[in-house]
Amino acid sequence: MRKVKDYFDEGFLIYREGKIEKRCLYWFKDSCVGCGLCYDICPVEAIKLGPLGAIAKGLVDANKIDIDENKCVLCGLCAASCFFNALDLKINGKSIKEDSRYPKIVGKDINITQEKCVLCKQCEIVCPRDAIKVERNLAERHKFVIGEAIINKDKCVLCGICAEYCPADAIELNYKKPTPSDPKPVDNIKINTEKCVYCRVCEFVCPHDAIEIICYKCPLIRRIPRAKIYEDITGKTIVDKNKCVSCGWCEFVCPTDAIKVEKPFDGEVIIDYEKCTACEACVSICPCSALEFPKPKDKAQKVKKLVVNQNLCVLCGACSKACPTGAIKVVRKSVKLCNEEPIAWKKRFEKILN
Amino acid sequence: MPKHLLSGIKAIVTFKLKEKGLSNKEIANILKCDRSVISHYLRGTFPKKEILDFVKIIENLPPACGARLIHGICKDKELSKILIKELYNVELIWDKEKCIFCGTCKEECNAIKMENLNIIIDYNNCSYCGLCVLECPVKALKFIKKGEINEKS
Repeated sequence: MRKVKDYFDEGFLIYREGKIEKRCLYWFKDSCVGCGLCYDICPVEAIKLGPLGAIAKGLVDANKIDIDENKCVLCGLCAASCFFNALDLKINGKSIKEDSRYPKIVGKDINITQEKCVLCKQCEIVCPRDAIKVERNLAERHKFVIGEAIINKDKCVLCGICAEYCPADAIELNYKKPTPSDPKPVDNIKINTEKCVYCRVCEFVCPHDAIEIICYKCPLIRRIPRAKIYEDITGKTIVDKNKCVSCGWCEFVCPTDAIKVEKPFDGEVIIDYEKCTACEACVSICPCSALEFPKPKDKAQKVKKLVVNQNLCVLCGACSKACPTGAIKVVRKSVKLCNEEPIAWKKRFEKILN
Repeated sequence: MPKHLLSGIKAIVTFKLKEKGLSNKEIANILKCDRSVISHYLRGTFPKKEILDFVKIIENLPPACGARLIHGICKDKELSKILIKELYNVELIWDKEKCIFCGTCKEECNAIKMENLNIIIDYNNCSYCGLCVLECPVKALKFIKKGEINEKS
């Protein structure tokens, strides 16, 4: 049965159009992290991995994987194992990821409890995949920065001392060119309420007692209530599940436990320091930013030492596939599947466990 | 030449059927030929020894390869099916535990259907052509000797 491979901007596709069904396997360049799970699970050895370390470090421009359309039988095992959504198999237009009959890795998930979220944006900052967006709308400044600023024009000598001290640059004096008909160099003074924070510094520094400031926020007056989340500060934290790799950075930094992340595998990453050459290919490829070579604290330490944060790792295996010396071993003990059948599929999934 | 080979295959099958205790008439009916031809086969007057020796080689081929060959020699699908089944004494078996449901087999053949992650072989329409056996990437479709099937079950 003839299979056709086509390239498009975002990747490639392989399809087979038979009498009864059309099967189409898609690969998306941008989603692929180069973990090599597909390579391990493919029952017909149709998948080849590119020079992952060099690609991750930006040294060569190549695809992270390639699929031989003559060997590929379009079974969909690779798509079912790809939890980065870089591979998808559509049978007559329907993705096998949506077909409950096929086993899939189901552990990977992220849930945000909006009621707990305080819109601090820290998750957005740390997310290594740019998968989180915090949309935060703040109530207008006028709701909280409010008061009265009065300049007594009879007392004011337009010296501008208040403007020199104003920390918010809110006092504006209108200097003009003195002329014989109007010899005064300043013709007006004004407090810009858009900038003024009613701090009363001008009131204190004015040697002529010409300024009076009333701050409505001050404890003595308290005419305005405190800001309330979801009343004055509204918004939503949105996660793009397609981009999310469930690394757990967001869960770790969330101050209110509003994010829960589930990981697909149980296990650990083991580093053989004898073999490690500190080339940093693993650091470059890791989709979770879970690996780093910290700066040596001790100056005598010449060789950089790789550190992995197991809590931020999803055990995808990209590091071990990219490592040129085989110094990293990813041990997966269990995988969560949504279905235990077909048996042949389950057996292939067991291949990615150790 | 294909005709001679076909006669050779028929002759070998005739021996096998005779061993099973079938009469010449029954064998002639099965192989769709005249009774006199069957008696020629049994007496050894026809076909020649070289032909029979060559058919022995075919008989020792993997059944799927032999099946492709027989279908190439004999255009009658029904007859080919009988010859293959008798020559190799095989059944087409689908191994659920090996199947990855890639659908390759059903694209090649009208006798195979995939329903709800089950492969259903319509044995009446199957001509034992062996294409599915050769195409299956994980050897989930196989010709298995009849004795071995019983041992398995």
